[in-house]
Amino acid sequence: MPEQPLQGRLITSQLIALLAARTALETPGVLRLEPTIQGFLARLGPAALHNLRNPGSQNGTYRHDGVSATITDGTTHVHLDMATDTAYTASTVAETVRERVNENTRHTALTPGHIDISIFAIEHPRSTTLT
Amino acid sequence: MDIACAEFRRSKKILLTSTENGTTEISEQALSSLIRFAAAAIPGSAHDAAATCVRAPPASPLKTAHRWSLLMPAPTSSSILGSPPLQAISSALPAGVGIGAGTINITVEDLYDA
Repeated sequence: MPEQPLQGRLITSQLIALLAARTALETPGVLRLEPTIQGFLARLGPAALHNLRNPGSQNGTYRHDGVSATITDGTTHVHLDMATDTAYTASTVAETVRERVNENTRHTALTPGHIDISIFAIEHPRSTTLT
Repeated sequence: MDIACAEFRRSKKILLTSTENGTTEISEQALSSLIRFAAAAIPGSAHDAAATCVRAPPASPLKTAHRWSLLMPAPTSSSILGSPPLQAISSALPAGVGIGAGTINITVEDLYDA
């Protein structure tokens, strides 16, 4: 037995990001998550090295296409970049996503913090892009 | 390529709501595209790509009175300034985004035979 017990770190920022992404995509009115150059570059930078060196680390920020998540002192912060369907009211969709991500985050025993949402496009599904 | 397209769409973001649980922002370009699309749905009007929609002034908060300028071609056979077309355009933002439409100034910059 080691003198200092290992600290359990099961819930990572990567898991929170993937959970938020899946929750958003399952919400009616959300078409997809939008990748951004900022997120792409961040994945190539120091954050990527941190993720490689500490794959099981709870602290730090994890970014993927259209989603980023940070865990700070047991509180999660999520940012989602997404496109919504014209058949739905964008602000209502965003609020629904926020509620669902909030609820699912609670299931991880972490405290849900800010969930910031950016809507980059409002489109008809599988048809015209409204840009 | 998808990333580059998304970055183009990004343009200016406008704060839509801010609560203790987080903020919601929306691309100004997504808003203008809604208005252009509503204009394109008017019978006889040109494709939405032919219309230009800008927000003025661009840096003003969305919750306050906001103005949009829509420049579009119109067919000679229909009245673009009639009530139904105007109503369709002004209801696009409340239905699509959940905010008031504000003031939408329409400038017909070209007339063509439909």
